[in-house]
Parts: sequence; C-alpha cells; structure tokens
Amino acid sequence: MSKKYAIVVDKKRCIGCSSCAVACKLENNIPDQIWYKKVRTIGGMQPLTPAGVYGDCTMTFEPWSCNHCDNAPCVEVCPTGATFKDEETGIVMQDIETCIGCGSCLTACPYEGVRTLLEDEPMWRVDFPVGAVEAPAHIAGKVEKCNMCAHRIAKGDVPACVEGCPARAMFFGDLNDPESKVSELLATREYYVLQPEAGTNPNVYYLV
Amino acid sequence: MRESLTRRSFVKVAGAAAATAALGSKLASQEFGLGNLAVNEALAGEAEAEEQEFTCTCSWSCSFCQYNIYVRNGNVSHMLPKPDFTYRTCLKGRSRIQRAYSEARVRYPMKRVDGTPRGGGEWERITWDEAVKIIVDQWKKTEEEFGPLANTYYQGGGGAQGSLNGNAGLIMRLFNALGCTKWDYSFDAATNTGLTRGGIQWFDQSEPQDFVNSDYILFLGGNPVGAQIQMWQHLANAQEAGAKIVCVDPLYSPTVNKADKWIPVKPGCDTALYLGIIKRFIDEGTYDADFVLNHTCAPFLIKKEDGMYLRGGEYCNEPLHVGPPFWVTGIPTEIDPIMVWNEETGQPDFFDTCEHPAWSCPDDQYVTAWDMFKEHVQEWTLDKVMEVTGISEEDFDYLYDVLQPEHKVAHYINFGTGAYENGLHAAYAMTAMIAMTGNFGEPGRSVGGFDAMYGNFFGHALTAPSNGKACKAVTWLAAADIMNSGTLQGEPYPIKNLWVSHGGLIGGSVNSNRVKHEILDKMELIVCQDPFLTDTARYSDIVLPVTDMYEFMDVVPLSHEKNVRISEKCIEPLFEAKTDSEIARIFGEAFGLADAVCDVTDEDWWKGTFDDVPAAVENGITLETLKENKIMRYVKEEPYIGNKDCKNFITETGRLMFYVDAPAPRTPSNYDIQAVFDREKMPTYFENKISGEHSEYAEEFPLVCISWRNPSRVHMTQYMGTWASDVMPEPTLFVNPEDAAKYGVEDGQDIKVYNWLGHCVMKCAYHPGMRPGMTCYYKGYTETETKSGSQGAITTDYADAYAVNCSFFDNRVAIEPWDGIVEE
Repeated sequence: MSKKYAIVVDKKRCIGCSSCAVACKLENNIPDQIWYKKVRTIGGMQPLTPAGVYGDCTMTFEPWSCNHCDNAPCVEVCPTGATFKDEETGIVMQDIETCIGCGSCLTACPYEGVRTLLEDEPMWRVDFPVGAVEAPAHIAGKVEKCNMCAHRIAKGDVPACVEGCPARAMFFGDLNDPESKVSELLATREYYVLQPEAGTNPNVYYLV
Repeated sequence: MRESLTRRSFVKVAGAAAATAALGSKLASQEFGLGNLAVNEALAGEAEAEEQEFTCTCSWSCSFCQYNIYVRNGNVSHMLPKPDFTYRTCLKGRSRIQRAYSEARVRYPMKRVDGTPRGGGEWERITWDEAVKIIVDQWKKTEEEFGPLANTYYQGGGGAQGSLNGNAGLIMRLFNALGCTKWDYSFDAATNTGLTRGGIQWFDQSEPQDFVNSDYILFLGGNPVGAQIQMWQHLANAQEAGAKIVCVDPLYSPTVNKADKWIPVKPGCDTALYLGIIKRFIDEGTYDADFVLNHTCAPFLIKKEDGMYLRGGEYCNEPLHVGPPFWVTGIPTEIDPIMVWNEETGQPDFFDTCEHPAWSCPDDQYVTAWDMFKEHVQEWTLDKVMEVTGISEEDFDYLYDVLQPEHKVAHYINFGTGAYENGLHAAYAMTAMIAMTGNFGEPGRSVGGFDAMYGNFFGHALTAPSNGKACKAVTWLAAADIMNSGTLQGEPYPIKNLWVSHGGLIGGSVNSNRVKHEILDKMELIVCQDPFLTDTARYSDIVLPVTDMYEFMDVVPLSHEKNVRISEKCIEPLFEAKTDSEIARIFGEAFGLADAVCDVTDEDWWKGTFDDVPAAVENGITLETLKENKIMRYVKEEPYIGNKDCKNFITETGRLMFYVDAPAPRTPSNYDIQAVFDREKMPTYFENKISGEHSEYAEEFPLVCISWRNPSRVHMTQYMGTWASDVMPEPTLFVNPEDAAKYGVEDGQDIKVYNWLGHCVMKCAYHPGMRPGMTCYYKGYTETETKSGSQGAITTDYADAYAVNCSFFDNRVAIEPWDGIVEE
C-alpha cells in the first residue's frame, strides 16, 4: 500500500523557536533568499507577541511550509509535470530540473509563501555547500519548496524539521498506517488544518 | 607582511591570498563572495567519500548540547542531533557553521592603526611574534613602574566554558602567575549570593527528568522557554503527566505563555511576597515544624546585646566541633557550635547534640532566631503584601495553597529576581519560604534552575601556578571609580592595561558609555582575544585570533544534567587562530614564567580534571573513557534527586539560615556596607532605587525596562548575521499598547529608548503582556546592529553593596518616535 506521509504539530508543545526552520535551511543548503519553513505567531501583530490585554493574553505558533495536499492545485496547473504528487509517499515533489519557473503553482496554491521563485542567483553566507550531501540543487529562475526531506525519508529518517524540534512538538509518519504515532495523535486529539475551505486536503495537521 | 587595510578589503585579500596555508582546504582556494553553487559543482562527487563524523559540544550558557558534526573537504558542512542525546540541536547551535566561517572571524593578530581612534575600524595585520612582544613589553613596563595589579584581566561568561580552553581553563594559570588584577564580572550573582546565604545550592539540584513527579512547577524569576529552550521538553512532559506550571512574573513571558497559572506582580517586589507567605505559614501554623526546628536556624540563640549568635567557645570554652563536610571538597569542617536552649535542662546547649531544642528562650539575655524572625515578618499582612506587590488576594491564596507541604513542588529560580538591587534578598527570602515547607529532597520536590553547576568542580585546580601567585579579584562595577580616583577602598590602585578574553564589556555589559569613557579610554593598552570581532574587540588596540569550537578538543562539564561531555576537534584552527591554552603557554614563555605556567601539560590537565574529583573516579571517567563514550554521568542514580538528606546545606551548621549574625558582601567593593549591615541579617524587603514605584527617576523615565534572554542568540553570539539572527533580526522593545498611546509611539515604528545614561533605537512592538508602565527587550544585539545607540548604553551599573551585582532590571527609560538622527 502506498504511504500518506504527514507532519503533525502539537501546538501545546511548540514554543515558536524556529529551530525547525533553521534545521531545514541547513539540511537542504537553502540559499539566503528562501525559507521552506517558517513559524507564524498567532497572537499580536509582531512575531512573538500575544493578543489580548494584560492579565488575559493568548499566543500560539504555527510552523508552516508546503502542506503536501491530497488535492494539490499546484500539481494540476504545472505545465511541465515538475510539481507532482509522488504516488509512493504522497509527498508533493518539486523537480527543479523540469521546472520552467512559470509561477503557475504560486498562483494556484492557496497557502501563500510556502514556495518561492528564486529570481536572482542563489546566495549563501558560507562559500561551500552545507547540509546533506543529497541536498537539492538551487537554480535561479526556478520555483522551490519543501519536499518533506524526501532524501531523508528514503533512508528511513524523518524530515529535518521534525528531527530538529527541541520541544519535541513535531511528528512525522504515515496516515495510512493506523498504528503510526501520527494516526494515533489525530485519533485522540483535537486538530485543525490550514484553510480547509480551499478543499486541498492538506497533510500538515495542528493539534490544539 | 604588513598591510594597512580597512576591515572589508582586508577580509577579501586575506581570503584569497593568505589563508591557504592555514586552512589546507578547498575553501581557501575560493574567492570570497562566490556563491556555494560554484563550489558545489567543483566538488561534486568528492563530498560523500570524504565525510567524517565528529562529536561537538556547545559551551554557551544555555543547554550545553552535544551533537554530531560532519566535515567534508576540510570544512564543517553539516550538523545533526545526536540520536542518543536528550537535546536536539537548536537554531543557535546550527547557526554555528555560518558563524565559524563568517567575515566576523578574527583571522590574524591585528593592531589598531597608529593615529586612528579606538573603534575606528582601521587595522593593521601583525604577526603573533609582534603581538606578543607589544603586549609583554607593555605589561612588564607597567609592572616595573606600578606593580603587577596595574595590569588587569577581564573574562566573559557565556562564550567559552570548556574545561581546558574556557575562561576557567589554563589561561587562568597564566593570569594567576602574573599576579594581576582580575575583574570580577559581577553578573547573575545576586541570586546565588542570596541562596548561598540561606544555604541552598544549585549544585545539588534534581535533574529535570524529575519534573514529571511534581504536582506543581513554580517559577520564581525564571523563563527557560525563552532562555534555555531545551529545558522546555521536560516541562512539557511534566505538564502532560499532570503537573501544573505556575509563574510569578510581572510580564507575560514565553514561559508564562505555556503556564497553567500566571500570577502577575509588580517588578522587583518578590521579597515582600515571600515574607507575606512566610507570615501566613506562621500565623496558621501550617509550616513543617519538624523541618523548621531540626534543619533551620530556628532554635539558635541570639545574644540580645549584640545580635551575635551565642557560641560554645564563648559560653563554656567548648572546643571546636566537627562540622558538616565542606560542600566543595567533601572534607569535614571545624566549627564553634552555635547554642540552642535545651528544654529539658533549662540551659543553653550545643545545636548539634541537643535533643530537645526549644522554639523560644525564657532567658532574657537571648532570643531564638525563630522568635526574632517571627517578629520580623509580622509587618507583612495580606493588605501590605497586596499593596507592595500588586498581587490579588485570590492569587495570594492560590500560591499559599500550592506551597502546602502535601503538594510536591519543584521551585524553579533563575536570575530574573536577582537582576534588581534587592535581588539578593529575594533569593534569601525564597530560601526562608522554602524552609517553612521543607518541600525538597524527594522525587517531585526540588529547588533549582537551569544549570547543575556541579560541573564547575571538574578541573581548575591546575589554574594555580607553580610560582604560588594568584590574581586579585576586584569587581568590574568598581572599575570606573578606581580609574577616576586612582584608589580602591582608600588605597592607591593605579591601573594601566586591560586584557579581555571572550568577554563583552561593551555590548553585553552595563552602562557602556561609562565603560568606554571612564574605563577603556583611560587604558594604555587594551588587548582582546576572541574568535570574533565583537564590540569589545573593535574597541581594542590588539586583537588576538582564537579558535572556535570545531577547532579544538575539550570537555564541557556544565549541563542541565549530571554528565560531562567531550567536544572533539573537527578541523584545524582557521587562519592563525590559536586555542586559549596555546595562548597561555606562548605568553607564559614570553613573560619568563614558563616554569610556573607551562609545566602543566594537557595530559596533566586531564589527569587533574578527573583524578581529583571523587565523582569522576567513582564513575570511571577519564579522558580515555570519555573519548570512547562521548558523554558520561558522574552519578549513578537516574534521575538524580538533590538535597536528599536535608542535612548538608551550604552553611557552617549545615542548616538553612534566615538569621545570619555576620553577613558579608559577595566580594569587596567601594560600596558602603556598614550602612545596611543590620538589614542584611534577615531577608528584608526594600524598594529598588530605580525601578521602584516611588523612585526619584519615575517621573522623567516612566517605564521600567527589563530584558529577556533572546531565544535566537546566547548573549551576542549571532551578531554577524546567521540563520538564527534572521529569525529575530532587529532590536525590539515590547510596549503595552496603552503605554504606546500615552507616549505617542506605534507598532513597527523605530523608537528612541533613552534614559540618563544613553539611548538605543529599537523597533516598537505592541505587546499586551507588558505590565502597563513596564517594557522589555530581547538582549544580545551589538552596537553594529542598532540604528543608533546600544542596549548596553541604557543599562544601569548601579548595584547593591552586598550582592555587588549588575542590576540589569533595576532600570527605567522614556520612549519617543526616533527622528532618524544617529547620535554618538
């Protein structure tokens, strides 16, 4: 049976530290202009500020990236097949070799900001490649996004963001396996997904 | 080779020309500024074959994490969490790669160009030999003319805490051998001083894996979710297991955000709160009477005539008794026993042998510490506590209920309360409050903070040089007075030179304008040894390049847990950087002190580190076994539970104290200690001079201003631009929207934050969790990162005479929109 890989974020445990985002940056040797993953504060207007009044404040965090949707609009609109749903894993892959940088996926995706068209030459702070040996290539004029660290999953590892969470707030696994930790969490905890009204059936879940 | 270059062009030339020999890696052949894609292609296929795995350990002041490092083609290229390690490499740790190879690295010894001002950024590259000669000539000349104490040494805290190469490592053997002045950095010391006066020690705290056994985890001036993010997993586990997190805090901190209960209070008033809780325990008789009578100073007799304890020697010529073992060495002490009133005999008796000590003394010459203390706390009625601290009656009742002995409470205290003028008393009063409940020493019942500081005991004996000399410690907070007056405590004390090792005197310190103009500007020679061109290095005359973590082997003994960890050398030192121990030996030779400094080899150091520490011997820890295992515990019990027998508190009697008859300041200073001597005997609330509600500063500077540890950097560590600093790139002041409206500033706007000491431009961020009248910023931004001014420039250097500690939070500011003008 094919897999349906998912990432589950426990918002009770997430502290918004962005270690997941930086783990992703390093693992994938991501250029300075791009982040595959970021952490959003649900609260005040600025990062790490709450909503409310003194004595009664609320603040939670949402690490967000590509949602690896079951009904992925980006896949449907991609003219070259560079964006495709991997049948084995359920991961929405982005193949930089066949991407022509037309930006159709950027327009079609309801989750603004999860992918980036690298307009200029990629830049890095250090002058040698870092991260995994299998880190993806980065080429000007192409669109990039989270591939759920497919190179790590292929070796039996979890995505870098999940491994790099000091709060142990992120979980990775196969939702087609009812015994998996992620299946168990979704069966026992209340959760939501981002923009369910878009009908994309995303595979990133937030436990409340 | 002698070049006169600006920093930027210097870096470029250096990258191409001079680095090759030092690096021996592919990096060196690349021009700086090339994207790594080009390198990627050039090295394609080679990378995999050459990858080597190492184990490294951060020695920053957060969680001291160990992780795996991967080296390809001579470059540190990847780092991943160590699968069997509790903590997972955070954003700061991962950013070390960018930091190590950044343009902010000091690559060669450098000398400020003659005729240019300090901080002007004009450097001339010199050789190590030249640097050594300049420094040694100046220090020798100064010693001949003014004596050895005119040469001074300052070391920072958080940057380098390895055993051999950290600030408590072999470098101290050099400075001790020179017999120079060592500036006591006087940070984060009030809490420890208050706890120590009361008798509680962080060194014996329970391991954080024990939090799951608690009913409540009570935060009293701690914010680990922001400051030591790795600690959070243990707290989250405890919460999932049913423990309630309770935070007493004036602000909605990152930890409060995760708490089950927030008890908001006014800033700097914790002492009053604890004294009120103690009074309630006494009034209602709910304290743990057995613990108070047998493990505290309660029955000790105080002579009414002079306030001193009655002792066996004075009372009946009693010879010295064997006291509790000294907590550092385990060697038994000798004490003149304090007397108690024996209820059976109706006479004074020795505290350590009397089986029937009385709570009160009928003899009019004496009063028990218990009766004295009871009287002392009587003024702290609920009404008064509510007025002073701002706590609600409901919250006071809640806190009193939490602290009842039937609840298993983990008391978590860090440096927050200690950052006020009255911080020593907050910790002393907290000790007294916990003395009422005896709520520790069992699973789920504990007192502690972020660091099981027992690791401090590994090594360091060899910092004592063979010539028998030692540095003289003088508080940094007295430096400006000494420089201005030329005296310390009335005696002449000329100072001419300063050598800084891994320290942030400007950015990380207090009152940086005063530091520059009244201390640094008066020095004849400022030397800074650091891997990075920090604010302090930029203001120096000579900068010496030091290795970063990947470039040397060391042992890191500090930890949240009872273990020591190896940090392996992964690559050769970059450029001309040297380790601290190499620098100690080079200068030991050059000063003619080889016999006193260089007679200790690395092998001797490691032998001393482990062979002299009973816990290491008992657990088979040697450098060899540690190299093999990477991490080793120095206790067998897991998790370790501290203070188990409640008999070895770190006071002369082994008991907790809430009355001390001869209080002593933490370290000598120019402050007037006699004026407040009597106040120091018992935990006492007094209003903070600056942040207090009735402060003379309040009208002109209406906002109390404190800081939080920055979750994206430890101290100033990410100033050069890294992934971690990208997450929080700008100095930001959190302002309650009500206060913002009152002072005419808006969310997202650049604002001028200022007081009588200086100013700093920060971004305004609305934050309703700020107590109205209070603001807070994330620490750790250098002068090069602000649009004008600096965070150090708005921080006071005013301090309590007994704590002798930087009162970072005892501070006030005013705010206004920034006019865009950069001021000096």
